[in-house]
Amino acid sequence: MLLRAGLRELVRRRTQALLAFCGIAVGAAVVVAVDTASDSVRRGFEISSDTVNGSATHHISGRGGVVDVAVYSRLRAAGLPAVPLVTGLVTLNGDHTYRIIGIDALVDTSIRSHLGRTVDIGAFGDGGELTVTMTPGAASAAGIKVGDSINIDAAGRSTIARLVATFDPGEDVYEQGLATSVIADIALAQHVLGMKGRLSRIDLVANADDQFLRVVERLLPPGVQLLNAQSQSDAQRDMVRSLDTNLAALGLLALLIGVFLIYNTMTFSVVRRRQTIGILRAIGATRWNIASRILLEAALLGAAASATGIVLGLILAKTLTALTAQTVNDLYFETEVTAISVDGLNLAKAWILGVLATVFAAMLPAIEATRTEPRAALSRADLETRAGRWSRWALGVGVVAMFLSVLLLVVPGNLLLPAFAGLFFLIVGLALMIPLLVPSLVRLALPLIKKIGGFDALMGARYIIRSTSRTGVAVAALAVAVSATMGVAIMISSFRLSLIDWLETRLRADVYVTADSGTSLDSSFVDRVKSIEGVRNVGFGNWTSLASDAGPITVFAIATTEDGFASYVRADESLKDRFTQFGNDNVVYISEPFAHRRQLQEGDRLALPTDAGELRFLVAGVYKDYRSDRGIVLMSRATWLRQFNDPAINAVGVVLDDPSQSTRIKDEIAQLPSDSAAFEVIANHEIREASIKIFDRTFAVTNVLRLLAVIVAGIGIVSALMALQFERSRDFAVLRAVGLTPGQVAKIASVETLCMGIASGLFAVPLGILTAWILVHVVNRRSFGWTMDFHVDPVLILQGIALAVGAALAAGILPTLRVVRQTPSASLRNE
Amino acid sequence: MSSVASISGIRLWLIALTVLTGLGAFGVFVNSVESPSVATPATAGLESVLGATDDTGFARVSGPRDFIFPADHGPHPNFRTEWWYLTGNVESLDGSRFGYQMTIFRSATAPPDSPVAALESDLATRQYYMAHVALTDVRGGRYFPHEKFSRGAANIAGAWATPFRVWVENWRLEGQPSDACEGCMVMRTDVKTDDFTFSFGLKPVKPLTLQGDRGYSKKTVDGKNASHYFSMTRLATTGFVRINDDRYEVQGTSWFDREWSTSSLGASQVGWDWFAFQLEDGTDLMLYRMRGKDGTTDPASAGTLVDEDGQYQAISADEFTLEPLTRWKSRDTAASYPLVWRIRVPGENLVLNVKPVVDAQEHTGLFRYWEGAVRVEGTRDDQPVTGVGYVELTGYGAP
Repeated sequence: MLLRAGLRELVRRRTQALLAFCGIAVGAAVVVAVDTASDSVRRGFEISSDTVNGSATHHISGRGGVVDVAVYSRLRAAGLPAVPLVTGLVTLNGDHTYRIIGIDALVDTSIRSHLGRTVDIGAFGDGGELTVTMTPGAASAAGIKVGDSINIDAAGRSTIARLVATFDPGEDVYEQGLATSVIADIALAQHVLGMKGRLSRIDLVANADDQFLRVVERLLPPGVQLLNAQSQSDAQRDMVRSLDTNLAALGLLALLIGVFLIYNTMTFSVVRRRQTIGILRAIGATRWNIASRILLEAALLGAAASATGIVLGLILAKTLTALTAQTVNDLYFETEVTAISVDGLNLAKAWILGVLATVFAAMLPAIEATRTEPRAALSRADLETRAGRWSRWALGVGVVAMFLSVLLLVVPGNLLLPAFAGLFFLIVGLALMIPLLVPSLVRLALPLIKKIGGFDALMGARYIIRSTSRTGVAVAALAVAVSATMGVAIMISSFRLSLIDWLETRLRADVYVTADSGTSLDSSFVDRVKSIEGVRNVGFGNWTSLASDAGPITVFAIATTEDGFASYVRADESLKDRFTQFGNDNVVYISEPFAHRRQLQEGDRLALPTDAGELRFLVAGVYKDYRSDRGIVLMSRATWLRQFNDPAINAVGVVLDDPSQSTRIKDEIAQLPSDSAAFEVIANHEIREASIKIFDRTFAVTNVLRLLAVIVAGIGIVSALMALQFERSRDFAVLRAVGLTPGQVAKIASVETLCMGIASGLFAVPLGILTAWILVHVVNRRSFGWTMDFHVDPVLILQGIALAVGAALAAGILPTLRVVRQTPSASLRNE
Repeated sequence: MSSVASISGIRLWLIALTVLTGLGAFGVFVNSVESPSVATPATAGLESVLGATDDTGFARVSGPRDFIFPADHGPHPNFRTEWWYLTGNVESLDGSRFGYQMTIFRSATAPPDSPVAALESDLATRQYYMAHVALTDVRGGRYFPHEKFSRGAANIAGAWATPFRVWVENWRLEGQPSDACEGCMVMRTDVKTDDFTFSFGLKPVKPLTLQGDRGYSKKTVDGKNASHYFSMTRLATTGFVRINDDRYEVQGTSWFDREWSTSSLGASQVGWDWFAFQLEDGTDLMLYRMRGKDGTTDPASAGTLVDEDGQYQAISADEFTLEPLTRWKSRDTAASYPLVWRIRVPGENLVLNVKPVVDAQEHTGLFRYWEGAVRVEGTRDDQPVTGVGYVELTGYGAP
């Protein structure tokens, strides 16, 4: 009976229930979407690396992520079971980005048997035709049928090959891992990718103590390393871990907002029904009857809303997965995420979380309802008295939470969990204090309100002070919701501005020349650039990667002037001495993320595999760099040439006498002969624009989540204030009955919601800035090692306040209209 | 006469063709896509693949030609298939006996003008190599077969005429011209596997035997299918064999076959039995029998007898009989091979009893067949005669 009464209540309060429902659903949806997206990306990574790695236990790789074919020949000539691999990205028919996997099916019989089985020399080149094969799914996704000729573009060239057959890799996992792959003979892959003479790597299967591994090591030339396959893949996985944690944190933030909203909704539901509850108690319902009725109501609402949220979440997950995969591709490595991996456990987790959060949020209101004596339930004064006690208790908890938060935030180390926990406690702590502060804030504003709005407005404002039990909690909930979106927005904008600043400092040259991957420019090319009229100065260097057991290390070796070097050195240091040391000694400068990942600081030693074996370089400094979150090791070209016998140049920076001439000089450079190197000439502003584009793409996920938080917050604000206004309709009816005009009543109602909107907007400002500060200085540093300038954009603050006020006004419209339209008697009768 | 050449040709040609179409089971894979019930076999019968292939663009063998040495020791890349086939029996001073096989096959997957040749890649090639090696330890009753496959690129596998060198990874056959006879070479082979190592010097004691019509070996009566084919039937062999830590200085005799062709064959046989003996009286004998599906001996079966001086004559199908005496069943493949034989060549008044030195000499790599060292004893003109040799038996597996 009680349950049916509860359901009737939910149906009767349609709008209320619907809003609460939406709040919970969106909260659950965000959790599901975030979980699913990071799972899918991780799974996609694992599958695609498993598909390519097969059963290999060791990789042989060298500088620049490639290894000379001669190394492979040498191993094979010694009779060692080495297996070559050539892989890279290609464009099929100008439209589809696929990964080409070039294998030698003759020797690749055990490592990648799922591929080796499918192809043989008969398929690749019988009759001399250039052929490839794919899974049926991969072929149809690219709109290719068996027998079709395919244009395969990469490395600035186009090759036509025929899809000779499709194949079934046997297992679903491989089917997924090959969903955007095209398999070719290793020779065709070399040709397509412009990798003549080079392999992506050489794979081996061996036990760690196998004698033949030592034989292999002896045969490897300097700069080529034998690496453990598992640790390579672990290193890659580690890189996305920060990303994962950040996403999960955003998901939980959304849920936190959701919980506040649910609490708010349920509280109002209880408060609104205190008369009913009083009557029920009077006719003999026990405390437990009342509490269980409220909790059951919440559980039902939570169950239905969470289920809906899961469906919404799965839809959202598709977008989120694509965005996350894009980020991983931009920042980390090529992944192949084509399928969303839906984990039943995740869904169950989100559903249970949603229901529990709802029940938990309803717990306080339920307890409050049971404490009500039958008669007292009818009296508001009693409620407010107890609310006063509650708020003192909340203040204590809030102070403890904030103390905990500070403790967590100052704990040194790179763990993300304490950082997020600290952030969580800070928000909770501050939120608990807000109800206490609301009356004081409004009281402060009373003179102003009276001056602007007159007596009617004052009535509205006084109501807020009187009914803190409801208005205070609503304001706190709204402030948290608004501050979360504000904090994230400030963090992103700080980061963006820091990036733009940094691009300004770092991109000193007007025109940049970069050689296509795998090709190299030489010093005569640099000389030719120097001799172009209007060129003032030319710096150049070589980007490459050194293989290491902890994953590849990006090394940038630069030939630069003292001026060009200045941006790597702190202002308080002697540039001249530093520059001399940079050129003459075996020193490196490392970027912040590199220092962070490897736990290195100035004065430490970094071991790098040089031509003469491992050499420990002195870390002479740590510099700011947003280029790569894997980090960069910078050394002078002189040091590079001394330790690594590799004269390659793949980056040239050109400073012009007159920057406005950059278009003309770009064209002139583009026409220069460069032997075999393919290169691209890019103007300063093009790099800047491209960098910012990638940045924006990276934070697209964050923005989607922020948008969702805004939606949840909006729903919450509307829901809470509407509840308050419906609750007030009896009061308004009384005011009408005593002679106030509809306009006057509407004014009172509007002032109430407006004041609450403004209050929550104002409370959100310090909370949002604090959130942003923690995100920038604690979370970001711990995730990536980046330092960035903290920049509070006033526009974002105003946006937050506008969100609160706008939503408050919107929430006021419907109840106000009802008040205005209804006759006082009807309203009174309704109650 | 020509059919003498063809038996060796057929057996090897089949192996090489199998490399082309059977390995990695592309054919099987296409089948499995169309009918998933077809599983990839772990091994294939050596005789199992006899499909016709498109030979457009390849060079053809159309008649006798003058061999040019040393060029003809090297590869003939414009023909589809080619092999260097070495088998022998060796013995140490203390009486430890060994049989060995060291064979390298070349197979071109595409004619010379194919686009593969134009790829910018050091791994691009039309030429693929397969090597089969085996060592039989007579005293230990052990047999170790091994195989390697490789593309003929990046110096991993290949064949050169000058200096003469044919290799797959670290299995090598090298040589240099010898003044002993026209086209003769002294050679050396080195093979190292997980089970054994051997290294032999090989010196011809007879001139080359040009098989068929001056080395033009017809595979069918109409001459549409033929090969270029010559042999060194007796090579004095010295060197060492090592199994684990035991090293044996050995000497003995080896047989070397060279053949290349493009032509394909239609299949009507289930397999073949091939015999090559070096008798102590200086005679070398090769015989083969093609077995028809109904168990009959094909008229294409034949043989060659090479005398002490290197003069040779053909033996036609009706001039010899092969009588299988005892069968041996392989535990690995369940194939049942006749391993003990009585051979009669009435025209030569020759009777030979053939016994394997070890029963289990079944090559069980990607292709299964029995190829092993044998001892022969018998009579010639009623005088006792003994010898050593190699026998190859195919088509005895379950279908």
